[in-house]
Amino acid sequence: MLNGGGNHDSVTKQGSDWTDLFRFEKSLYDLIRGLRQHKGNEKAYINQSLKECRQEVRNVDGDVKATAILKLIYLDMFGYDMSWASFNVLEVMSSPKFVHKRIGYLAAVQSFRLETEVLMLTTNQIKKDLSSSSIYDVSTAINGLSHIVSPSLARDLSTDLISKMNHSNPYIRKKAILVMYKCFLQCPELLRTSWQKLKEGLNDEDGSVVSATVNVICELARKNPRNYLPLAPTLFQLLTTSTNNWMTIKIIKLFATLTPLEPRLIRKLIPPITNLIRTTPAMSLLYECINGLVSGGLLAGIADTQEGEELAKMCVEKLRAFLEEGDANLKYVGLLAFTKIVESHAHLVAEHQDVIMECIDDPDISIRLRALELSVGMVNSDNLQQVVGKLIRQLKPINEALDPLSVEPYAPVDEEDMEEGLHPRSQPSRPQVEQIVLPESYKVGVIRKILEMCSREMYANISDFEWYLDVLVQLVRYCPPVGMREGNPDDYDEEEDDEEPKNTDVGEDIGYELKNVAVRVKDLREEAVRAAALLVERRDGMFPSAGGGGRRVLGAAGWIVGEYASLLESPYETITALLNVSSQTLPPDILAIYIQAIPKVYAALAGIQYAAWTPERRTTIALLTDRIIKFLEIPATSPNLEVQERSVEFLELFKLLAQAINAHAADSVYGPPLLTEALPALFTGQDLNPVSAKAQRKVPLPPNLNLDTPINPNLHLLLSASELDISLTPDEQADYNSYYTRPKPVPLKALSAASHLDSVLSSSAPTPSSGGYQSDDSYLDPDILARRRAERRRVNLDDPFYIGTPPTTSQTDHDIDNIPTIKLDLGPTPDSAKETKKPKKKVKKANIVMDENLDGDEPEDAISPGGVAGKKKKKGLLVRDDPLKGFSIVPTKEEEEERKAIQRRMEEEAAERERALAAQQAAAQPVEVEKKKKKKKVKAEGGDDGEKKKKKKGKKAEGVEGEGGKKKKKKSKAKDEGVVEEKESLI
Amino acid sequence: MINAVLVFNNNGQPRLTKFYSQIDVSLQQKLLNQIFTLVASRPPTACNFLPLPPLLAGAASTAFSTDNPTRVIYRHYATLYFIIISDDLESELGLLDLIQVFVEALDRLFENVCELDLIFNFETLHQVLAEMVQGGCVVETDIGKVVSAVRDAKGVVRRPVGGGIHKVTGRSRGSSAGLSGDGGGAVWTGR
Repeated sequence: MLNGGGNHDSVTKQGSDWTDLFRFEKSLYDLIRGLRQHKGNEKAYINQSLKECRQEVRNVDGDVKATAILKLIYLDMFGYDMSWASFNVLEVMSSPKFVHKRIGYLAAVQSFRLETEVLMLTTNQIKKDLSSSSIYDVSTAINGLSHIVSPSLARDLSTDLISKMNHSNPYIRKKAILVMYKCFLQCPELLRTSWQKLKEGLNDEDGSVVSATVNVICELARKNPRNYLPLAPTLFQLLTTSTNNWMTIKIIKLFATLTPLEPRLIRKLIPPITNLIRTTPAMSLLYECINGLVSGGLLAGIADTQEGEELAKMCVEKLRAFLEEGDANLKYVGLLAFTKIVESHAHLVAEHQDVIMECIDDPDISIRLRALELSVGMVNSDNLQQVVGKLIRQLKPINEALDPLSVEPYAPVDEEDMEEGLHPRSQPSRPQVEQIVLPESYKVGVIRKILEMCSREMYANISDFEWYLDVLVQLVRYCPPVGMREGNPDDYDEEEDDEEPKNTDVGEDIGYELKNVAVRVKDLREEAVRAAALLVERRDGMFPSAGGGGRRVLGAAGWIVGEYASLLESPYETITALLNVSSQTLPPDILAIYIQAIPKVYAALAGIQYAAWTPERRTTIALLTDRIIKFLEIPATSPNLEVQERSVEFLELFKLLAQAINAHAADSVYGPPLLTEALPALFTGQDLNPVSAKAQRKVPLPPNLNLDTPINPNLHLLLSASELDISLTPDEQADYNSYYTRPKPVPLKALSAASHLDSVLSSSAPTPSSGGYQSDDSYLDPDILARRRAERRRVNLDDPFYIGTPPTTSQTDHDIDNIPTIKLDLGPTPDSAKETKKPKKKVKKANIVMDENLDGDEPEDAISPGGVAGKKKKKGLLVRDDPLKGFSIVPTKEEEEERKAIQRRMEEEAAERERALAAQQAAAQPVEVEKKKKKKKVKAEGGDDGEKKKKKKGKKAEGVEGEGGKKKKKKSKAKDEGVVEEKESLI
Repeated sequence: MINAVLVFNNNGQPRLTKFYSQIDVSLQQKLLNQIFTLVASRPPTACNFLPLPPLLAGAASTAFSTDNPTRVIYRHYATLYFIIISDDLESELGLLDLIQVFVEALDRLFENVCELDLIFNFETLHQVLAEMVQGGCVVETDIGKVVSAVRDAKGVVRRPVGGGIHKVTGRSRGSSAGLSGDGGGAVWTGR
């Protein structure tokens, strides 16, 4: 295939080359050998070698120099920077010997950067090598340039490179075309001068050259697809005829970026792509076809037609085969594609939930994550409970025996190993790992996804909110401990120095959901309050220590028990839990919520207006008040201002209350008015409703609001006065210390809440027997299950057709009243009416309160994404600046005027030609079509002006050049039009 | 575009590092380490797609540039891992295929290639790669063309490995048959 012209001196210099090779070979060989012999103290050996290299690169002998550079390249791979040797690299690059030259270029590729100073000195050497007669010199130079090209190199070498784009040898052509892309990145103007040549690459006789061109255009099209729409006919031709799958994939990707701009392409592309999907045996191509259909918006474009539905169905079925194939890679990409399709065709994907669900439990974490992602898009009200159940089961803590940190080390490599041929690892039969240790980050991800899929579209998928509450409580228990943070340290910057990193604890998110349900779903509020109270009361068991997972749910739980205190089942127990000493160690923001909740619950408990003021009641309340005062005294000196302020305020209130209780006559019928009237009035009023985040902006400003007058005109005096004397007396110092240097609670060993709870509950709740069938909701903890069962029993109690187990088997004396009997009178008895008030699960369609807003809808984008936009955008590690973004092949702005002038002239010309044509043609052609065509033509010509004008600029030989160019163009235009017409006929 | 091609062994020692975007040597090593940690903990049955290492994940999550590397693909052959980092304009399965082509080409050049061959002839490794990927763009996927280009460019002299202890395994010489038969054959048919 490749001619032997490159072996310029292989025969003549054979002898001397051999000795050279022998000499430098020994050196690199020695280095590597030595490295392997000095196991343990490689560092010293390497430093020694580097020192030698420093000497050797200065040697006049080219061989020694090249060898030294070669050794440096080798060490560079291990992290020993060789940028100091850049000048010597340049020397080796300019060696006349190809073997040396290649080493030099390799060193440049590995070590030169845009900032490297000698880079500008390479221009002449590269120019020389590009014009060498040996194709291998040329290709080495091109390959080197593709790594080190800078704006000035690109400019200076552009003519040499462009001439290589139609080199006689395809081996050079393909490389020259590819290197142009790297040059465009550095110097976008080159794209205009070389565009014509680049386009010709698409019609090259050599497949590799065409493929390289497609590759370049594909990369370019992503930056500014509009430029490449005119190529659509040629590309379409390639798509239908190509046999190179690699290129076909690229073309499909390219079309996927073009179709959003030209929707008419969709109709055109559907048949060939459908055909490929049907026929290709290559999974990679099949996958990319489906991928292209989705990401190019093709499926969405024809979604509402019969054909579109069928095509989507076929894609989804093909993807199902991916999942069933048993190959992990296919499974992975299949899920990826499903995730994309699910956005437009959720119903079709849901049909295949059986296979997708299997992937959720896949032993491979990559696949699991994909499946998790997909399941969020896939859930609907029918499968939600099943999906969530499956996910929760994963979170269940497993045997602690497995240490998640110990990674099975591979056997140390020895000579034997390294000589093993590079055949793929034989895949041992899948080990029976039922349970794999999941990283905490994955668990957090699962919890977040569960919350996401449940709360989607304002809880559209949830039919049973009681179930959701149970799930939330269960999730709190599975919150992974918040300990050391994994992930990148860069995240830290947005975090203030707080006692606890807020972002990591998913408890916060769960709490948010709990609160949401309590506020929005009025029917279930009682249930939500019960759940919150449970969390508050069981805190000691569930969140034993600092760092325990899920603790931040307490913020929401505390708020709920306070806000809806009247719904509490046992307010006394709740307030006892709130007043627990351990509450003092909560994070300050949660403690502040607790402090607010305490008086609310107290008000509900003690402030009942018409409760008889018995001595007993008086004592209870007096004691409780006293306890609250005691409790509040501690946070009243908290360094956290929010906590301090709230506790000081309420402390004073409770002191007043205590006085009032003491002063109140013991024989009064009702309690003191401060307790029964004033206190509840503080906390009752209108119900809280969810308010839209945008509502605030719609509140009109009060006309008399003056923001300019100072509130306190003496502020500066106050401030200056406070600065006068800040020295503290020893007494004050002690006070100061007590405020500001409170020792932090020592974090104990972080434990998952669930594991702790298990030990707490093990005595109280019977665990269900492991044998027998697993019940539907076995992913919930025993105590939650027990409660569910009790509830079910209560509901079933008055179902005459339900034959259940008696409530307690040990009980022998049956309660006669509880035996269901058929009542003969058909009127609703007060008894049954009361019973049915507790509605059955499925029937209950919860009423969800939506966000309140002031007047109607608001444009979606009205809210400014200040947080996002304001954030500093991080640049990727492997990403360069992108000058090509939005770069147009057609010159813009300053050249716009000129372009317009030319366009006008071209239009005139075209019109004239058109007229002549019209005159020639018979009247058979309808006028309408003619007009349409004309417009197209003019437009196309306008687009071509760019290159043409450039040429003119250079040569000033407009007339001749323009004519020649036009003729060529006519041809291709005719082709273009053919396709355009075809397209139009299709539509 | 392909952002990087890496080869390292089971101990994480690099055998080839080729970055198509210019980054610091220290960062290169860091990335290498992160990828190695990810890859070393994967069971052999797992799929060949890695989650993004922390160094890359931060950038990708902001996802402002379409050029961000979004996929890390690897294949494990005997003692060596072959890694490709790329953005989403490359095809996942296509890249797996490319690694396979790379290894097969090496196998043809070295006849029954093993890690030691690649250690002692690392420039050849670079040459083969350069014939396949140039500046991050795939230039050739045809094994025959790649191999003959490297051969014709002369200077590929196989350095003796370990003082001539060249192991001859019992494996049949048919390189493509021996290399590509790993159960996933269906993926790579009809290249």
